[in-house]
Amino acid sequence: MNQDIITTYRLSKSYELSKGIFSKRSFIQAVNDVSIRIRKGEICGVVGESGCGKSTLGRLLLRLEEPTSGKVFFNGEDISTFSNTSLRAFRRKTQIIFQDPYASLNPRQPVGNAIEEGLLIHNIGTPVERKELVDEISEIVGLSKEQLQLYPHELSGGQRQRVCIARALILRPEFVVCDEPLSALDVSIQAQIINLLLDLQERYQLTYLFISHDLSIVRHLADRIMVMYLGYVVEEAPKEELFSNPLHPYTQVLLSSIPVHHPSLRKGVKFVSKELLRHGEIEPSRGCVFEPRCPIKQQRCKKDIPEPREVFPYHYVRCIAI
Amino acid sequence: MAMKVGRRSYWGMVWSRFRRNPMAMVGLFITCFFWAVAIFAPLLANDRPIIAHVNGSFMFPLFYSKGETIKSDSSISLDRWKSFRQYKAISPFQRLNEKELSGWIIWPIVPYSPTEHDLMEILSPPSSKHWFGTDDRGRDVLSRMIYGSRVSLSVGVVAVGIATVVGIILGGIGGYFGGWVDALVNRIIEILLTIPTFFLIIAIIAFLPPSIYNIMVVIGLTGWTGIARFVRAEFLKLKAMDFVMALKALGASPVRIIFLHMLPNAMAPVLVAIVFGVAGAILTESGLSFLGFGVPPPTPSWGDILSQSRDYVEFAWWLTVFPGSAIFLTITAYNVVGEGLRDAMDPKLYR
Repeated sequence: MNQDIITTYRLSKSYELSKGIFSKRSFIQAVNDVSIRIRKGEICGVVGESGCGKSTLGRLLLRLEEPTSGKVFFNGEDISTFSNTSLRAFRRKTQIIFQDPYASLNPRQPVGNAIEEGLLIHNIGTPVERKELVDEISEIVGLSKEQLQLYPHELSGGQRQRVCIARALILRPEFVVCDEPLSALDVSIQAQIINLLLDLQERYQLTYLFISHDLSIVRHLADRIMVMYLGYVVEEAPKEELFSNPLHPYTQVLLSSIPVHHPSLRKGVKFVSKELLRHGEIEPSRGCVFEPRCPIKQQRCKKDIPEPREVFPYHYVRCIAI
Repeated sequence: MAMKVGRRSYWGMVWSRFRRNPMAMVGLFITCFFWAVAIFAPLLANDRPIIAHVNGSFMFPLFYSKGETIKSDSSISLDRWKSFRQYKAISPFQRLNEKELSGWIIWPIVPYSPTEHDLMEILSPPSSKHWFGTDDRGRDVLSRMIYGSRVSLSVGVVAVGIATVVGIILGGIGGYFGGWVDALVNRIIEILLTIPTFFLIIAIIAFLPPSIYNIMVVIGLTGWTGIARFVRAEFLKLKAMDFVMALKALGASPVRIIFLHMLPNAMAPVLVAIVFGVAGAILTESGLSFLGFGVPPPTPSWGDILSQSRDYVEFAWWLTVFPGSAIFLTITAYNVVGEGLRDAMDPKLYR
């Protein structure tokens, strides 16, 4: 498929935990053997619990961090081989929106200047043209001209997130990583920002990698969903398929955790085993990472690492038992 | 909070907090006072009048350079002004009634130059003529102290300026890039910290020709470690913040990120370190001068006056008390200002 904007091949990233001459080197595996493809124009949702490597994956895709192994391809080109010039071009085409809009703005910079920053970095336009571009994008994201003079601490959370979106989109990127852009916002503001992101996607033909731990938001936004667990993409399927036919035991548990209006509406997994709740206390096994918590584990799960398999069309699962 | 403060920049908020701290304001006032003294030293202490009105014409002897003769109608040499001074008890305003000369003179508050000897007035105690007394060569102590403030403050500022530039660059590089660069910067800092700075400075000064500039440079190049560590710590913190990541994603170069975005956010603790650093540098310079390693003799400095007082410490108390108090006051003022700044910039107080 030529429409892939991003593909990865066996992407892994590990962080060294304790650094010392005498202590044993230990690593934490943030992203593990991730091979995905993101198609042009789609919204690809990534869900999973905290610390499962969602954000790291997003950063690896933008070369904000270097992978330990594996490769990322942007429009078919390996991003790790980019020279300075092509890296600059790549930076123009890819952007990121962060979870905490306050931390992602320079507290000493009026937000209008923050939006303009990308144009300055890439030497785009004269001061007058830049101002026009800033005004244009600000209007689109719903910021008034007066607000552009303000400092981040003088804006509300939703307004700050609008600033971050404007800053990311002023360079007209093709691919945007949205790293939990709604988590720090009130529910009422979340809806506004979701609609804004959807409008912008339509207007600029954007491709989103939408990272979230909120399944209902991802269900609303995404075309395709990847479920991550401890660095692995354990299941990947189109949205409808995933919600109607979750195959991986972890996905099933995750879906059953979505609050419903009435207990009788709850379907899918009937029980959550106690094991499942004891996350973090258990040593991961040498086989499948989910084995210690898995309700349907088998003997061989302890030593065999499952490979992703296409169980139904476009529906990939990383589980031996299925 | 945001409602009450309204549109105010970060430094505006810091200033409003600083202003409410009386100790810090007193310190700031004293600091400004010494700065004013240093800047206007030639107008405050000089052996020539500021303005003279002689035989119907105005003259400004203070602003003529040495050797330059004054207007043809009244050729009063620069040295002759001194002789007028000695006939009367000195007050800033003096009537002139000489044989051919009449008019009036306005003297500087201290009508003595710092290098002017008066052999009739050796080691005289404070009096209406010499407010802070004279030293063992009959030089006016107050005049020397006024000029000494220039040495102290300029050494303080230039030395800390050098230290700041070195500290920001090295600390910034270490904090931003991390890894072995950071390790290298840290080892350099640690090695410097193990050497007692004062003795290192004395050792270096011993090899250099005595000059105020060498002292500035040496104090500066040994005093950057504290600032570098502050900058490094701030950069480690800032580097993990999302806005730095966002700038990287926009394609900003490390130079742009470090100097345009991270440094302004790291300046708060650095500024405090700078203020404390000025106090330290002034103290170091005074110490060096006291030990005779300071600025070369004709230039007056506070430490130098203190150094002379050692031989007459039994009776010439004015040689010890006045320059000592000046050093004490300056250092205290800078430290109080530094503490006030630190409190005013404490982010925990903003909530």
